[in-house]
Amino acid sequence: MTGRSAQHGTIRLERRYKASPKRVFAAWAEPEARAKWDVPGRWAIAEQSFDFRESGRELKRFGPQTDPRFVAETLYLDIVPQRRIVFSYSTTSNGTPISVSLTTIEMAADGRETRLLLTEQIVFLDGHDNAGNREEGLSSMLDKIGAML
Amino acid sequence: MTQRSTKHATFTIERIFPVSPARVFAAYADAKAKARWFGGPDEWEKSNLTLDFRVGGRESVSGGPSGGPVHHYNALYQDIVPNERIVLTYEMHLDKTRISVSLGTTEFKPAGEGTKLVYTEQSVFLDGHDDAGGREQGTRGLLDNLEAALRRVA
Amino acid sequence: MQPVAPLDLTFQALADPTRRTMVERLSRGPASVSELAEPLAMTLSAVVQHLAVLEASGLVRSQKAGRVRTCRIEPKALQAAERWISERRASWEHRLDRLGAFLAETEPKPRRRRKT
Repeated sequence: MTGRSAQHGTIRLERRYKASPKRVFAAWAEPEARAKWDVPGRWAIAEQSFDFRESGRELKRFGPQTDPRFVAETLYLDIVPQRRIVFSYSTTSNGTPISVSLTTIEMAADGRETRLLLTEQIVFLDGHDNAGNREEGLSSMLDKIGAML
Repeated sequence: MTQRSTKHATFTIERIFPVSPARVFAAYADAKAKARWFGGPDEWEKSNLTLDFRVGGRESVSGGPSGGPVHHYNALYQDIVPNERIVLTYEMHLDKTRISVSLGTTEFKPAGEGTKLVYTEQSVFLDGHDDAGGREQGTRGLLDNLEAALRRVA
Repeated sequence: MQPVAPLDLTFQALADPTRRTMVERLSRGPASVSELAEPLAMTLSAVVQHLAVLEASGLVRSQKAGRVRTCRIEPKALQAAERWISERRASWEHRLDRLGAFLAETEPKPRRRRKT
């Protein structure tokens, strides 16, 4: 009997940035910009492609320097410039599926700032190697603890 | 300025079928078998269902009332575990307008001599096109169709 | 079954950057005390002291086999942080932090009004 499982969940995060929706959207849409900020904290990116358009697909291969075993494949589904991005992505570890997600990013002008709302609906498969997130999550947690002291 | 909004929703449906998981799974895995139960109401005009059943493969079918708006279903297979699980993402368009994007997980679990099918859908409805439970209702209808199709062949 | 240490003990244990480095290393897999000590610029006995704090907090447990003491993360203690959805959330928090830093770094400089 295989240990098959599918756990579902939704996360919601909100941020406010001192930037116009135009700049926030450009940070996602422009490859040179995204390559500067969308990098894993401690791990290396072995391979990355950009294709930011509806039906565009992107691939990112990353992990520890000696073992970039994680792959995230993104498919852009809905793009409303400066307002909304909806994409799906699947993650695998050494080819084994870990999760599939549907992510909605919404931007709204608020004075001179932008309110960003991220909603991610996830199915997490078979309780697999989630070190891809665990590493980031743990790093993030440890950094926050460090910053608090 | 166009009003933009989203509504996120999740529902889960469980159904018991009196045949093995392999038999239920087969009704999903083959275009001809799937077309027997998956689609809009009988009175609708419908296109053929195209199905490329593999991870990375696509599925599409369209239909609508005669003279009315056309519903377009377009899916991408994300994960397939034979006789156990199917995960896909799909979009619905009404004519040229995208109305929703969804993540659908179907699990096939043995239940005695039959199958417990668990379907979970996580959706984002775009720009006011949320349907107050219509999607869930529609899915129950499809599973009714599936049950009838499985009983016919049994 | 070992009781999970109260959260404040855990945070106290993680108050030290060396101990955080040790926890990070162990999150990637078990290690002997000497493997843990290797990248750290301190005496072995200092490392052992840090380890004792981590074990007291319940974050880490160790077992001696022969001459080698092997340390590993205690999964239950990290359960809150380890559960997949909190990990995903934390991962996104990190990414959105980075977006914020990028936007702040690339903020266009205000143009000086030229006096005519």
